[in-house]
Amino acid sequence: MSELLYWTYIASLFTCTVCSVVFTIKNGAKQQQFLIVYLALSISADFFLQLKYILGKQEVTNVIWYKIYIISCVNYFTYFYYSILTKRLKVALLSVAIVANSYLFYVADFGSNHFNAQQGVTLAIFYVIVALTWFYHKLQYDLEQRILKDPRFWVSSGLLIWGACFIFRTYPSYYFYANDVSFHNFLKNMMHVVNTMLYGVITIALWQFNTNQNLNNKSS
Amino acid sequence: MPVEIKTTYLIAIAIMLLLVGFIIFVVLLHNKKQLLFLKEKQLKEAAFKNAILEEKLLQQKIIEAERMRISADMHDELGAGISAIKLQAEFIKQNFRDEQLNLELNDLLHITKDMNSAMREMLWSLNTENDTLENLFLYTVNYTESFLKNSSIKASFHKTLDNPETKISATGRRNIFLCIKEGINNVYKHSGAKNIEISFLMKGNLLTIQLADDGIGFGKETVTSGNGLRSMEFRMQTINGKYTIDRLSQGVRILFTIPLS
Repeated sequence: MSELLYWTYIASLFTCTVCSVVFTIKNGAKQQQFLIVYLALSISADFFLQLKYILGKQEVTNVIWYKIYIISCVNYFTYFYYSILTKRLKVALLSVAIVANSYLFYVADFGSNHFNAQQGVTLAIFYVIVALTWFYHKLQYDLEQRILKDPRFWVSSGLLIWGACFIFRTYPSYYFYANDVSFHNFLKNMMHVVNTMLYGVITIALWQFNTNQNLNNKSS
Repeated sequence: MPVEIKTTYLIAIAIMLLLVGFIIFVVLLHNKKQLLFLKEKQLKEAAFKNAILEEKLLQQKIIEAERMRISADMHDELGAGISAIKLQAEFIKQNFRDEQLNLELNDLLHITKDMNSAMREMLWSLNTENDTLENLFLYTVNYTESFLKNSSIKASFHKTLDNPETKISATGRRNIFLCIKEGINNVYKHSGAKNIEISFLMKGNLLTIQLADDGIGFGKETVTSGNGLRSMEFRMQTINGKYTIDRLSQGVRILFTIPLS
């Protein structure tokens, strides 16, 4: 069951990335706010995570890449939302991003092969904050376009759900691993489902970016 | 597993459900706000269009007032001047019995008569009260009857107008009338006709004016270089209209077709 959920998640990630590559070839990477970069980072993070199992060498160090991935995600989503926000919200977003980056570098300890749960929690909180900021922006300042036609709506919804789930998944992870393995596995499976959902909604966002581009091309 | 942790996870599930509810709430709220925003936008656009229309109306009123002023000034100044010249010429004609002088004075009186008539036409076209199709028809009837008064040509008039109060601009009215005038003049000068029939037909946004006589007739292909015809063509082009001349079994028919906006 766990394997099936994991491979479903991987399949959704690949499908999403393939869509992103196709739309990048068709419309360019900027049109989809360089989501291809984020997806490439996600794939590589998973690849490095699986490397020790693929090679059958438990001593392979891969946590450092995951730490870099988390910092990259914070900076990528700062870029993703920055251009569309109002001046005040831009300042707020930058402030949150600076605080998140500083804290992530502070707790990272790149020399260690131990993943600090605080990093995961920081990323999750950052996702929740940027998603809520975007919802606020959409409700206050952007009433022209239908919310369901806005690709950022799908990305924000995905990040909000993912962020909230990830906090409960990552923080007590080591505790459960030591005390209640079955519950730990249950949470792991739940996270696979949430990840599958996240890449599902990102695929919808990619389609929406493409549809909007087609409409722009027609109207011009 | 301790109860506290299980409770924590129950809370977590509740938070998840709340987040999903929150997203649905945001979607609904956004749709509602968007609806209001679009209505507000439509109202603003309507208000803006109204303002533009009001501005145009104001400009139209200013132009109309100016036309009325010019019309009154022409009537009072030029009209009185022409009448004075005419009176003076008649006075000289009565007091001096020189034959050559009388001939010159007759020419002068003829010129004043033409000037008077031209001025009346100008006054008619300037007067905003005359900006209707019905008025154009009545003025045409008056002019034709007056013009053919001393000739053997009998004029008859017909009109079928969907809306007689349809507005025609001063320029349009003047161009149409001058075309009709030219047509009547041609009938009088060249046709040798006994009857002329003038019909006004308005159907939808199209005005058709027909001048038909029972004279000796001529075709457009035989009379193409006359100033009168060129003038008619030019005037019709100015108002996006067109005209045709057809030879009938007896006489000629001139047809003016003018789109009314």
